[in-house]
Amino acid sequence: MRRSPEANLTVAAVLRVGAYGAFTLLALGMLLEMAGMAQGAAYLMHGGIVVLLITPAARVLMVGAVFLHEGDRKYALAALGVLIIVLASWAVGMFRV
Amino acid sequence: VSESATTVLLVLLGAFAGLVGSMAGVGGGIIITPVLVLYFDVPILHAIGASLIAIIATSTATSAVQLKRPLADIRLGLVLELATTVGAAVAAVLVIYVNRRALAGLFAAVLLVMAATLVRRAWQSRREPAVQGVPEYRVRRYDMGLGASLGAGALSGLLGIGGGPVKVPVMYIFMGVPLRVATATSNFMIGVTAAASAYIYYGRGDVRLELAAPVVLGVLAGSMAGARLAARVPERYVILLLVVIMFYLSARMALRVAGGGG
Repeated sequence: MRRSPEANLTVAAVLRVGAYGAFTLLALGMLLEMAGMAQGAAYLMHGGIVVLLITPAARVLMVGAVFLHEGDRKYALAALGVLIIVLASWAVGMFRV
Repeated sequence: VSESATTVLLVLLGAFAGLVGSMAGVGGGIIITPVLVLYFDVPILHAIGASLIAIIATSTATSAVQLKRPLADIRLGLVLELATTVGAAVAAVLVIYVNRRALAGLFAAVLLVMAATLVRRAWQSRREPAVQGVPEYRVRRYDMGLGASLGAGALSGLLGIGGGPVKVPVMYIFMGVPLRVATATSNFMIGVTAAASAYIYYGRGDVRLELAAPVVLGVLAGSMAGARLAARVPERYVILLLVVIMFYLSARMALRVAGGGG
């Protein structure tokens, strides 16, 4: 059996936090926008987008941690590799490396 | 159209794309980019930027529901992500050197191929019995899978789509992965692949808040509802609806390119 129930459940928890967190921030931001508070609205909406941007990286980190905990070094290493690539792309995007 | 009416339309677009996309098992990005370009007059790179965030949203919301019924092969997904993320990041950097018209033309072509793939899938699943369990399998041909994943990632970075139509058949046909596992694994990967290109679009300023925020809010609501509804609505009706929309958008996009637009 190749599937790891524990890894699945941990990832599902991370994803739920990301999805509901981003939804709440974006919805509140839109409400503030309608109320005419543009400054606060932009902060909240930006926060919602950033939460979504972080969630996939957090997901990979959690999967890697679970595999490491299970003693599955090979796949923990694969997770680390993906994380490094994603962080490199983040660095390129933010700092125009 | 006033600014707040546009915002409402953007939320509705996202909700529709999220609902249909999550029920049919494709990212909503395939609808979002062309609709933004064709009907909201958005520059294609801004449309792709919003679409990438929408893909992360769909993948996040639907995987959170789907992972409770563990189908995704996380180990296989991780290995293939080593290639999709590289393809996605490199393509996202290079996209600014691609002619806008060529990009729109490529989008129209990919939209057409994806619609045809969906038709085939719906046709094949018509007489397939509903299976509950997952058969035992052994993954083979990692070289093939990694190569295809690199290409799928590049398509994602160039066009702001998930790349599922490339990854799923490769896992299913060449790597010996059962179809349902391949689909779930592809959905699991999509968010990470999209993130690799989204960071670059975001850093370049191609993720516009006024565009991405309403679309993504709609997508989150739509895909959360869709992931729960998926078990109750027959997949083929959703696919039929989506295919009609995709053929139409592909034709409109092709006409626009032929008429000199980008």
